[in-house]
Amino acid sequence: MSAPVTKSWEDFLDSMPQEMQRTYRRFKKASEVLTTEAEPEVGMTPKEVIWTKNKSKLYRYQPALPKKHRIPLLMVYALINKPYILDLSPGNSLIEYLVNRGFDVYLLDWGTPALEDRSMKLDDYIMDYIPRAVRKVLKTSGAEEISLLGYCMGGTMTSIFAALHPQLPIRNIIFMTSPFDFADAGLFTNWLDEKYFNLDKMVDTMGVVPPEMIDFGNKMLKPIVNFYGPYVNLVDRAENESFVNGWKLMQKWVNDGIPFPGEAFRQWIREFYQHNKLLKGELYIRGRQVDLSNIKANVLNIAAERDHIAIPHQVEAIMPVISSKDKTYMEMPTGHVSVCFGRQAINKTYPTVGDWLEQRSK
Amino acid sequence: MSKQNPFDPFSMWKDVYDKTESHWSKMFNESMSKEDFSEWMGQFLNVYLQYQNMIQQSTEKYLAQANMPSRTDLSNLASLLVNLEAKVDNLEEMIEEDLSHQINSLNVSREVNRLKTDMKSLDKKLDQILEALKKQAEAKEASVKEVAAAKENEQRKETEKKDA
Repeated sequence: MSAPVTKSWEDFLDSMPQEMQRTYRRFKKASEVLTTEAEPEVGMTPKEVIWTKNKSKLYRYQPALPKKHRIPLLMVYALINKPYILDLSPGNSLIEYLVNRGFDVYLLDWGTPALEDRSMKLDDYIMDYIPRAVRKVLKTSGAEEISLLGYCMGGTMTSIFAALHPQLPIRNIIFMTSPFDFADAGLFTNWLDEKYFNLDKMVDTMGVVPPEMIDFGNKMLKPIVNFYGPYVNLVDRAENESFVNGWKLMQKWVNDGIPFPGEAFRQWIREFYQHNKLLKGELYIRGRQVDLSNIKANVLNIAAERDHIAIPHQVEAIMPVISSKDKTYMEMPTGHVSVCFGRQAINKTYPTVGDWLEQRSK
Repeated sequence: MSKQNPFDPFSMWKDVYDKTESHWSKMFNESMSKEDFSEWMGQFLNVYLQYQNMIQQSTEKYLAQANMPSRTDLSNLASLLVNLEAKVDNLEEMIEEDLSHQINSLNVSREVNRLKTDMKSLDKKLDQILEALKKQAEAKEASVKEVAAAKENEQRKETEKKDA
């Protein structure tokens, strides 16, 4: 708008009642957020890359304070999203919190697979990537033992890895909203039924499953809340700067998914969702049977009360199976994502993880 | 009690959302839990995949005729690079392990050399102790002999006195 037009528009606005002016401001702000404002910066805790393999990177976070705990912590994230949800923004980051409490924190970022990775299986990630990352962490930190934190599908992969590598010095494992029992996975159980869901055709056609399809599936679990709700909330609270910042961060993460390598997707859906092989002890990874009772490390298993992706009963199911003497199951008053982002995460999840780990990292 | 703003359509929108969300969500959830929905979703996916397949095949054919690489060709090339990188990564790990073994064996040989030196110095000290003990024993023997000789002399002198 040219200057005179803007001036007259502002004059016109000033002449309107206060309520209308407020309504206009909210509409304007919401429109700006949706159209012109820059995306927020994420993953700002200082870090260095200490190892790479294909698209994967292993980060070591640089503490501002000296490290207090000698056992390093390796975080393993899901194959379907970017892991910066664990380090979203300063003051809203599990990684920053743990680093500031003196932990030596590492993160395995799977990177963004492309069509050339269509033949990658869970076997490759669990037998080639995670063990090597563990060795690199032990070597870099000079420690003799390690703690692991698996979030979402990353926790399921971590449990398989720990069960298949009982010889590795794993002291502690934290599972965060990780599903283990797939017998009743809510609506996914219906939608992914072999009778209707043509898995092979999907994998063979797509090669790598696009993130939009996975995101659509997840959002369909609660369509009104996920497709419509965010925009109602944005307009309603557009004048609240901190809400808008949080909203932008969350939307950025939600819309920033990564493709799922075809063979890993085939395995994940068939062997986990359709046949529930993990908990039955029927899962084979690179020819080796996965026996979860091999897990003897200290375990903290966190579920989220309002989680519809990893429902609490799916998460809790691992507790009676593992052999750990020190094992704790906790439910946070959050959802699948808000377990590590937002007010409840800062007040509940971060201190729970920090305290539990501190007591077991001496 | 909150006062409804007559000029704020967004508040009304929000109110409607809050009041109807649970109802709509429940209704959607019920519909989506039915087998019919799963069946419809499967059919929809099949049609979409059929369409995707057709597009991919025609694109591949066109690119082949135009003598241009397709996405699959490029991904095959990338796959070769990934395999090569995996081999380099394996080599790197082998070298690292080998180096750590070498460092270990170097440490072991250093330790053995130190032990050798320690042993030598111990041996030397033991020799010195043995020498000292030998000298001490000899001195003791000599003094015992002297005492015995002195006693013998005294006894002889006493016998000579008695005889005289």
